[in-house]
Amino acid sequence: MKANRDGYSSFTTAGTVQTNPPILSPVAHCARRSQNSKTEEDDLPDLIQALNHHAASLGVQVVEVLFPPETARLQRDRRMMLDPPLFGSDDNYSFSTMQINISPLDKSDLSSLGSSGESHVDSHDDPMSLTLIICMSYLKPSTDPGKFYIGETRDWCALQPFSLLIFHGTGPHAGTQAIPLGEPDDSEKRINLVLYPRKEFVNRTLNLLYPCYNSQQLADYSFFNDGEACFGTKEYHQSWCSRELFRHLISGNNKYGRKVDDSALQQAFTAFTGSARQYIDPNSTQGKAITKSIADANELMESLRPHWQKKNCQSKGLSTIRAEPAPPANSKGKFSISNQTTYSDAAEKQPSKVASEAQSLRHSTRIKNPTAQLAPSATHDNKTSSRKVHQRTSHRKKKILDDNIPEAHDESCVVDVDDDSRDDGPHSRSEQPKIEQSTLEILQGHPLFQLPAMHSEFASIERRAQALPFKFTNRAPQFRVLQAKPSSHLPPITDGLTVVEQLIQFGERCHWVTQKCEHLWFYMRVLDEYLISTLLIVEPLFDIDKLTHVF
Amino acid sequence: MIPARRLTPQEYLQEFLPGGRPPFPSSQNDTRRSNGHGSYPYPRNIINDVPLSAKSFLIYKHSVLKEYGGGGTFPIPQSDEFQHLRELKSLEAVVKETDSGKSVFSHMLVSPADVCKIFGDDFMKKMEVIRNLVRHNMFNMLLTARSLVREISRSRLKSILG
Repeated sequence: MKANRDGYSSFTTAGTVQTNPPILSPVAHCARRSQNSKTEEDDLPDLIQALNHHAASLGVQVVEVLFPPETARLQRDRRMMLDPPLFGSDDNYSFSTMQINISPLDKSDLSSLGSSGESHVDSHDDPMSLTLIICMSYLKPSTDPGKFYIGETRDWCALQPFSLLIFHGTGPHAGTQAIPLGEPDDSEKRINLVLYPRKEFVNRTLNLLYPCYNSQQLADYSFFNDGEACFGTKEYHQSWCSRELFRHLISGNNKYGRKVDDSALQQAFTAFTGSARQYIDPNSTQGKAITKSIADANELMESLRPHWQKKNCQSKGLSTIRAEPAPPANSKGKFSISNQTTYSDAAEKQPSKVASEAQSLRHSTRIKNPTAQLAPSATHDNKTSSRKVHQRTSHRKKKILDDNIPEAHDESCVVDVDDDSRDDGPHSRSEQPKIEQSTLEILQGHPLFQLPAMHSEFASIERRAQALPFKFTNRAPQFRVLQAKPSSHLPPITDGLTVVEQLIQFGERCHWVTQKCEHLWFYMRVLDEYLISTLLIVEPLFDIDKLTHVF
Repeated sequence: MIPARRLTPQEYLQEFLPGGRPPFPSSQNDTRRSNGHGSYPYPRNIINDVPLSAKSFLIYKHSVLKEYGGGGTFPIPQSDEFQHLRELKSLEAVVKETDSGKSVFSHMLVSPADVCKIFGDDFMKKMEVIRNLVRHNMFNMLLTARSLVREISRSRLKSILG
């Protein structure tokens, strides 16, 4: 089972946003096929399924009683219209997935949760929606349960076991570790379930894999084939699949088929899915009204969101960026809701395209606003930090270019990228850095784009080529031979990517390189041998006595 | 401590009139219409939309909150600093006043005692079931020597799930 991002005790149990390609998918460790070769974990999907169902049931009850009613109604209507694969229960219309944070008390901080253990914002959350924390810590009565801190209002609460907290994840928040009286007991654990609304899910801004996309099924996880554990029950999974396939059919029909009126659609929906729910066409008057209300609410909440700046971005000058997966090109046609006039979105529209083929990189860092990242604060150590940043950026871009991964929106500044993770970087718009550095300048600083170095390399190649006859220089270098072509499939790129799969891939790559090196070595030796043997044959021709005798 | 004022539900209702929704508390008819195929009371908005179960309201002015924004890093206070900050009360809805008569909900704590009171024993039992699942099983997944605990985990999982 793979933990989220940089921590090791924080787990997502249902849907996540896969970055390459950018789609909604179940986490890999809940898919049975990911457990095939690991018999020790064959019961993991069952466990996750049970957890999802129980937790979502609690979440549904909390929403009914504790959520602001208008917010809950908007969420319910949006759910009816877009029907995203929300986790655990068919009655859940507020939370896309769940994260379980488990921290043993042997550490005095929450570093095991990675960046989630620090003050952070969850910028991938839907702004108008709410996050629910269900505290389930197992602690001795004498143990201080730890606190939860809301940064904007600077108020806090003790995270007593079985307490609940509802809040907007888009605001700054943090937790503190539980502190035992004396030595920590092994059985004591700080446990929190975080039920949260990821905006790509609840607004359906990204596509998902349909069963008809056979070519991608091998590498990517789909809610149809692999997502049963996310849904909590088989019935909900089956019911959602029916509804989603119906929507997929209607989407295709709207593009290519004849127009079907709403009442006929409703009849077909009921007959096809067996659901008594209303079918809401996003393009209908009702659908548009829901969409507008949601967009207005998100715009309002986004405008009230406090300005956030990750601390280490200022102090250490790190300019690591979190990738925001971009909707695929064809997702525009999909039914989706997104607030378009928020300041964070405006910030996303900064010129941040690193390279045309540069795309979101899984578990990597990205530049959102290059100027902000490369010159975090115009202090005396800017040069040093910029250089470090530059090196990191260069390395990253090289990797991006090498991997040819599709482009994603750059959003915020954090240490690492993992779409599951609940922490995010700053949404700085007001604090513009004093030193401006454009994308062009960043690219020009990259080794691949240093013109003098390139010219020098070309000159060197030309010099060498002059020594060769024309028949050899007329042939373009065959770089393709250096591109490895592993026989195995690429590992699935999800948050649940297993270490073993990665190791197999890297091992195969290393094996390929060493084999090629061996071949090259033999090839060089043969050439050397051939050259020497040729010279040995030539040598007698320069024998003076023999030449004198001949002439 | 950031200045804020505390209101009772009645005081809140008087000062912050419901935005785009039926009068507080909401009517059942509206819920039925939304689930059924009837007309929808749209557009809706979330102004002054607060939890109906809140027992009190803590009102922060948004303009004041912006003044206290500092560098935007919102670091976690040191342990001894918490005593100078406001501790949340159970079922006290924290809202941000954006304009005169307009507010948006921010956050709310519910203590274990109130959870039990509101949701009942079944809810508490479910929470314990989940805690047991996580404690006994999920945490074992973290261990490198999982095979050692595999059988224990499986048997516990089966016993918990019945």
